Amino acid sequence: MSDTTYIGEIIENTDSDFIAMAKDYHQLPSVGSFLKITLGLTNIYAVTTSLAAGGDDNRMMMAMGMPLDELVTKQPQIADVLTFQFTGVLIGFSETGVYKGYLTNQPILHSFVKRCNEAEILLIAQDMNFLNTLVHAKDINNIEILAAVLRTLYCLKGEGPVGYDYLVCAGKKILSLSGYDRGLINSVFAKVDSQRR
Amino acid sequence: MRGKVIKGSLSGGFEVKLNDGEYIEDVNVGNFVIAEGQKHKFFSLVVDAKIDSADSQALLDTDKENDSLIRDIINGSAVFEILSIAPMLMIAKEEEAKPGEKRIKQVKTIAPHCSEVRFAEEGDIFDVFGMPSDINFEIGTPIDMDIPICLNLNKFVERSNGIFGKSGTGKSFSTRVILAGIIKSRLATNLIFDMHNEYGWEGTDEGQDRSCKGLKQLFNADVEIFTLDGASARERKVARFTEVEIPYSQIAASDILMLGKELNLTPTAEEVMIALEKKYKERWLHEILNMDPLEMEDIAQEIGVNSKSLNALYSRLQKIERLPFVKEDGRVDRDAVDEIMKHLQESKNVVVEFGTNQNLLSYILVANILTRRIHARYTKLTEKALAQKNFKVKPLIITVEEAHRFLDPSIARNTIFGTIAREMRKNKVTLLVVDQRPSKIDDEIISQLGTRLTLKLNDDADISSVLTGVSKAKTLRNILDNLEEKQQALCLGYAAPMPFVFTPRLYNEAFYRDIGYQDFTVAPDHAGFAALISDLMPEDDE
Ligand SMILES: Nc1ncnc2c1ncn2[C@@H]1O[C@H](COP(=O)(O)OP(=O)(O)OP(=O)(O)O)[C@@H](O)[C@H]1O
Ligand SMILES: [Mg+2]
Repeated sequence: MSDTTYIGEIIENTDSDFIAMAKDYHQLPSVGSFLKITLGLTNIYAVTTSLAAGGDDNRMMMAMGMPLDELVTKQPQIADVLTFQFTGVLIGFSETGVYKGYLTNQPILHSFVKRCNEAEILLIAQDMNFLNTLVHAKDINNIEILAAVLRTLYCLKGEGPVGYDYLVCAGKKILSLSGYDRGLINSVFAKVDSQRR
Repeated sequence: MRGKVIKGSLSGGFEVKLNDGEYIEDVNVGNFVIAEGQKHKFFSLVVDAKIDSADSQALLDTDKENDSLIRDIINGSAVFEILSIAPMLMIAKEEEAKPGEKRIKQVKTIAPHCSEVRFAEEGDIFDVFGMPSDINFEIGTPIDMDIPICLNLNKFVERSNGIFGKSGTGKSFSTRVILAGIIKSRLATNLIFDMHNEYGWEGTDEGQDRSCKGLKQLFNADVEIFTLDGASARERKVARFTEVEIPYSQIAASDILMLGKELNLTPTAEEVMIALEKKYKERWLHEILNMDPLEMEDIAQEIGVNSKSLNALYSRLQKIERLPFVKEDGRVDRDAVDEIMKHLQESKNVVVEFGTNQNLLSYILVANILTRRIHARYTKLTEKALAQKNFKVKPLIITVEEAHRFLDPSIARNTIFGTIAREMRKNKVTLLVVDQRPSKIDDEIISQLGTRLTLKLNDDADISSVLTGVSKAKTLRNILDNLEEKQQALCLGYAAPMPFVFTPRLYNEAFYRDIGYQDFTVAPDHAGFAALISDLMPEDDE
């Protein structure tokens, strides 16, 4: 396969999440960004939940006193040892343009992971079910991820009344999904700059 | 408004959580709402509203109130508004209606959890209250809706009814609207005791400082005016009227007894009057008013009463003698009751005006005497109707303002008005009682009133009283407490399929026109007339 737009490749997965190896550390997705994995006619969607980097398992990493880009230019062999990974949680899929907030099949190992475009993000955001996954997923930083996702959506929906109303709806959904956890609401929305305008 | 049923019981009604984005302030107590069950529409009234929360801490957590986003999120989710609605009727949905079964039924079950709730629409209202017609009379509009709501006059005229409300709320105006409806429908004839000259001829609208038409002006030939004060009627340019004079012989001891308060009668008065009546029969009043003070002692002895009591009664009765319309028998040349009866039997409506005699003494005395005798005539008529197949008696409705004066618990058992209210419509006579202090009316009589229209009342006892014998009284009480200061009423009882709040129809030019009034006094429109003529007879151009 010669698709060059992919940013990673799945190296480990379960029925609800995956670990991908980044193709290029310059193109690491940020936490809370939307991802997709294409399987035939189906797009499976995910949200980035964490990033990690590591080296050769037999040697300790050490500080080198220079930025990574400079280091790689000077000692190209380092790039082969360093690995960059990101994890994602699966939120739903689409077939022929219709989004469903659940999964019928999982990505397979070595599938390529791409970023979602704006149209796809808006498609996912039409229904609030993806919030269910983000509120309930274990072992992820739910607050940061929710806040990041909502920041993205606020911008895409249009900063101002439309975006604001979307945030209110999302907030209500999170509140009811979390069993009216107002602490969660306060922490998440403290990280979302918004104004009704 | 949209919401969902989240709780409910047959006895306590439903609780409705408003949907996201709905504003509680758009909903008012008394609004009609529909809970859409699976098989029925539950026709309900909004009776209460409150704030509730998923978690009581959320209610207290008010420091975030400056953060509008958090507040907007919390409102409607963690904290939300609840409407209490009382289902009053259930209507089988068309596809569920079984042939031959009534579609509209009393509520015998509840709407399932999460049933959609919405404001009632025009079609729903017409389903329950019907479309306006002469019989299904438009009495006003439901609150916040601009469509007619109707009262079934066929049922209304079958029983005695009441119109209540504190002073200035629109009792007399509403009564006039309903009377006009009844007259137009021809379902019953009316006898109206018009203490303040409001019903017959031109009345003044004190609130608006303008005059408004009386029933005689609207229905001309169908309404006759009787007055106790010809001079006042002439001065007010009443088109046609008959003067009422009351001869002494028509005043019974029982009529005087009702005036205990007005005449300041002593406790012994009753005994003395009974003794007088026994001896002199219907001449008793003539006799006592013409007694020689020197003979008083002897007469007292003769009839077996205390002379002091006789004397006291004599002086109290001077007030009666001074009434301008009460006369010695020889000076009265026609019997008002005969004439009133003649009109009533011709299906005409009679208004008895009091002119300048707007005191309770005149009012109670005259209303009582006339009603007593007219009721007796109707009793005879109904007996005749029972015997003769082809003889029918049209029902008579007697309208009395200040009704508690006739229906006070201490006298209601003995007065003709009490009798009429209690015998239902056995003798084809019913009452329309209009009053501002229903609590002063005998409870038993209130509970006999078929339909009650209640405008704003402030007094707790008055509110309880109009709810006497009503199911769901507790729920309705909240509605009564929250009525507007004027021109808003709760209607409940026999003629209404369910209790409802409404704004009474305006009594104005538009109403006159709707009821069929044509103003012949306005100068004809000459241009229009000419056009009409030329339409009918096109001129030859040649
Ligand atoms: N249906 C109506 N149409 C037009 N005006 C009305 C109506 N109802 C009430 N009003 C206004 O309210 C004022 C008071 O109404 P109304 O005289 O009927 O009160 P009430 O209850 O009979 O008072 P009271 O106990 O003093 O006799 C009227 O003068 C009129 O301005
Ligand atoms: Mg009045």
